[in-house]
Amino acid sequence: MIETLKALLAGTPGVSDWKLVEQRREGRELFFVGRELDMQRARSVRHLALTVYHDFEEDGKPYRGMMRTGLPAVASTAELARRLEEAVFAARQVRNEPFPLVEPGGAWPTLPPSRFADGPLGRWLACLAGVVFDADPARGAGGPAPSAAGRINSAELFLDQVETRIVNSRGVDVRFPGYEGYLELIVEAEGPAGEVELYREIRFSDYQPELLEAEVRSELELVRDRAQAGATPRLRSASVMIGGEALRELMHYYLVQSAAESAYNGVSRFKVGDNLQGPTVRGDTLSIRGEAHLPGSTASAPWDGDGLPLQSTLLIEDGVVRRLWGPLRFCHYLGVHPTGGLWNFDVRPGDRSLEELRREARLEVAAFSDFHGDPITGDFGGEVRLGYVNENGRRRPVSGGSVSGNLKELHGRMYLSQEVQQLNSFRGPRAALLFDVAVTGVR
Amino acid sequence: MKVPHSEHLSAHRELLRELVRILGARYRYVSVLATDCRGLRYTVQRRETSILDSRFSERGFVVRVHDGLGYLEHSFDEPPGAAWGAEEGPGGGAAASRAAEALAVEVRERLAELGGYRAALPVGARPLPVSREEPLTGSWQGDVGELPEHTGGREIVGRLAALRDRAFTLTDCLVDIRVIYEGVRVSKLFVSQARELEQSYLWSQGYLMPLCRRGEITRGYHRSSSGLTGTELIQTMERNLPGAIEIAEQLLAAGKVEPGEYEVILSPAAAGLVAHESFGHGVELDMFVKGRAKAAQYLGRSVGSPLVSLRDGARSAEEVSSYWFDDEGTPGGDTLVIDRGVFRAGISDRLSALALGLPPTGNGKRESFERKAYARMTNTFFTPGTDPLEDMIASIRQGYLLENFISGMEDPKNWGIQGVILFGREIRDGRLSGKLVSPVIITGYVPEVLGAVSMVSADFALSGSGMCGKGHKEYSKTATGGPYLKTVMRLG
Repeated sequence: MIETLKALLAGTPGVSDWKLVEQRREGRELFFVGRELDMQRARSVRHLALTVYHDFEEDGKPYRGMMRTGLPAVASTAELARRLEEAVFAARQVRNEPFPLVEPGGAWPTLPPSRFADGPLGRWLACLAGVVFDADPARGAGGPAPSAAGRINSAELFLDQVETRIVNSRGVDVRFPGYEGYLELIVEAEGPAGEVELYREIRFSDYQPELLEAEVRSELELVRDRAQAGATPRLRSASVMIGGEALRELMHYYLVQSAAESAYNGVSRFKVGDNLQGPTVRGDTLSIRGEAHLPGSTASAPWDGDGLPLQSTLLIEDGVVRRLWGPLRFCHYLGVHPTGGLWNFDVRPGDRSLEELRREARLEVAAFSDFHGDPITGDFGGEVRLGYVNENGRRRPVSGGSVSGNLKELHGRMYLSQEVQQLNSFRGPRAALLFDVAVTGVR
Repeated sequence: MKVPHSEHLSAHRELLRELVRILGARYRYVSVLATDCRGLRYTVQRRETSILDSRFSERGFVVRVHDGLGYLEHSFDEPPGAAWGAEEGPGGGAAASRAAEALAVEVRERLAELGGYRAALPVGARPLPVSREEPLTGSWQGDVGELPEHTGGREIVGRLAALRDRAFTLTDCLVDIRVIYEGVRVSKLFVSQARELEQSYLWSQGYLMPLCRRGEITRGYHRSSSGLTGTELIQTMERNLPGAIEIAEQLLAAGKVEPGEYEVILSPAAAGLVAHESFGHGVELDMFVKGRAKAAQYLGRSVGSPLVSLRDGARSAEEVSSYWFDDEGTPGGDTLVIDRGVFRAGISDRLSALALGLPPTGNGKRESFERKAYARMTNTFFTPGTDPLEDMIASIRQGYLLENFISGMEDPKNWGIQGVILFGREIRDGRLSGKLVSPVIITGYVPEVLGAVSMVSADFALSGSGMCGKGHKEYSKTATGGPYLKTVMRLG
C-alpha cells in the first residue's frame, strides 16, 4: 500500500513532502442493559491520514502549504489520483510559514507491552465484563428496582487493538501497537426522593482488574450518596474542593497556556521563565510533566503524530514555564527545542491530605453534570451532580446548583491533595481546594 | 442544484444486494448500511490557514443480523479483494456474486465469533424479536445553491481570508479570529431483505470566532450559521461579521452574575439548549428501555406550561439533521413530543421501538458506519408563540436575556438541566441595561423550568452548528432552537 501511495505521490506535481499515518483497528464491543447482554459488535477498519506539503514563494516570501486528508481504505486508482491532486491544490491555498518535517534517526523508544496482547479480544472482553459485574451488588438478583445498595443500570464495554504506522517522505517509518479499552457505566440507587443515577466513562490500555473493580465500586458508593443527597445550600462564595475528571479539565488551562501553538497564535502570552500562577502564591505551586508513557493510558505512545520520539519532559515547575511544548512545527516557529505532541500529563501532588483539605472546604464536589473549563480565559463551572457540604463537623451529600469561578483569579491560593489519581492520560492529585468560588445553591 | 449520488455506492449496490441475499439464507434479519460522506473544513486565522478533512468524512459498511438470539453487527471498510487501485467496486453480474460470496464468508466468521463469546460472559443475552420491515425502495437528493467543489478551494479560502482581514479593521482589540467553513456531502445506501434506499444531501456550517484582549482580560465569542446549504452559507457569515465583532468587544467588559434565581428570557439558541438537554435526551426511547428516563412516568401527563410545545424530527424542519431515512432504514419523522405542556411521545431507534412495541420514529443515528445506532435527536425545538420580545423584556424587573450557549449535559433520570451560556444581557426595570455577564451556568429542574414558561415569542430560529453526544461520545449533527422563552432559572 505504501508503495502504491509513493508511486502516486511521485506522479503528482507539486508534492514537496508528505506524511502518512495509518491506523488499523480491530475492535469488539458489548452493550448491556441491566444484567443482560443487549448487543455485540465487531469492527475492522483502516484509517489513513495523508498530509501533503507544498512549498512555494509569493512576493519573494517562502510558504509551506499543507493539506491533511483521509484516504478511504478502498478506492480506485483514478479516485486516489483525484484526491492527491485536490490535496496539492488545497495546499497551494495555505500560506503557512515554512517548517521542517521530522527526520529519521535518533531514539527508538519502546513501551511496555499490554497484557491484552496475550489472547483474543473477545476473551479479554469477557474477563472485563466479569470484573465489572462482580462489583455489582445486584449480581444474581436481577430484580426490577434499584435498591439503596445501588446497582449497574447499563454498561458499554469496548476493546480495540490498534496498530499505528507513521511514514514520511524524509524516511521516517515507525510503527507501534496499542490497545484502547472503554467502559461507559451507568449506576443507579434508590433514595428517599426516588431513583438517581451517575454516569462514568473509564478508558484504559491494559488489563488492571483491581483498578477497574475499584472504580466500579467507587461509582456505586457515590450513587448511594447521591440517593441520600439533599439540596445544595446557597453559599454564594465558599471554599470548594474540586476533584476527579473536573480537576483534569481545570489543569488543561495550564497546558494550553504553555503550548507552543498558543504562544505562536497569540492565544497565550506566557514565555519560558514566566510564572503561570502570578507573583504571589499562597498555596501550592504547580509542576507538570509531559509523559510518553503512563501505565494503562490509551495516550501512551513512543512517537508523536509526526514520528518524533517522545520522552518524559518537565513543562512547568513551581508555577514557572520551563518548556513551551508541542509538535515540531510550532516549536520550530518559536525557535525552541521540540518536545513533540505529548498527550499524557503528570501533575505533582500537594503536601496536604484529602482529610486536611476537607477540614477547610465548605463544599466538596465529587461529580459534576458537565464541568466546563475555558483554557483561554480561565473561566470554569458546572452543575453539582454530587457534592458534600461540611457543616458543624458533619459531611453530608448534596446535589443541584452550580459552582463557578475564574482560575486566574483563584490559583494564587490553591491547595492540591497528596493523594494521587490517574484518569487515563492524566495523573495528579485527587482534588484541589480553591477559595472564594461562587456557589449557586438550590435552597 | 441537486446533490449528486456517490459513484462508490452505486458501484457496490449489486454486491450489497447479493450479500443480503446470501446472509438471508442463514439469518432471519439482514441489513447493510453503506456510507460515503466527504467534506472539507477550511479554517483561516491571523497566522494560520488549514484545509482538513471533515471529521464527518467516512466510507464503509455495517452489517446487522438477527441470529435467533439477538442482534449482532460488523463494521468494516475493506471488503475482501477490494483495495487501493482496484476498479470502483465489483459492479454487477458474476463479479458482484463472487465478491459477495467472499464477503459473506468473512462476515459470517466474524458474527459467529461474536455469538460464540456469549457463553463466556457473566450475564445472559436479552431476547429481542426480529425486526419486520414494510417493503420500501427509493432515492432522494438534496438541493443546494452551490456545491463546494464548484466554488473551489481557492475562492473559499479567499472569501474566508477577506472576512478575517475585514475583522481586523473593525476593532483594535482583536488578537485572533478563526473563520471556518465546512461542507459535508452525505451519501448513504441501505439494503435489507425488504428495503433499498439511497440518499445524498449536503450540509454546511460556518463559524466566526473572534478573540479579543484588553489589558489582562481575554474573551472569546462565537457566531455560527448552518443549514442544508452549499457555499452560499459564506454570505450569511459575511453579514454576521460586524455583529460578532461588536459582541466580542462588549464581552471584554462583561461582569459576573450574582448567583441566584432569576426571571430569564432564553434566546432561540439558549431555548434550543434547554429543549435538547431538558427534554430531548430524556425522551430518547433507548433511555426508556434502560429505565433511565423519568419521562416514562409522565406519558400523557403535564410536564410544563400550556405555552410549551416541542417537536423533533428529520422532517420537522430543514436543518443539518434533515434526511429521508435514518441509519437503520426507517424514514425520518416529525414527532410532537410535548403538546401544550403535555408529554405525548418519545423518539426511537428501531431496536428500542421493538423492545417497547412501538413504531420507530426514524431517529436511529450512528456517529459513522463504525458505531452502533442509538435513539438520537434530529431537529429539536420549541414551537413559536405570539408574544413580542419587547413585551417580554418589559415584563421583567430584574433578570437576564441569555444568549448563545457553550455546552450542556443531559440528566434524563433526574431531570436536572445544566448548561453553560456564553453571556447574558442584564434586564433592569423592563429594559436592557447594556451590562453583560459571562459565562453563565444555568441549572434547574425540568418541570419547574418548563412549568414557569410564561411568555413565548413569535420568533423562530434553528442552529445546527454544534454536535450532540450520547453521554460523552457518539457525536452526531443535530439542530436545536425555537422562539424566545420567558421562564425562571438558577444562574451562577
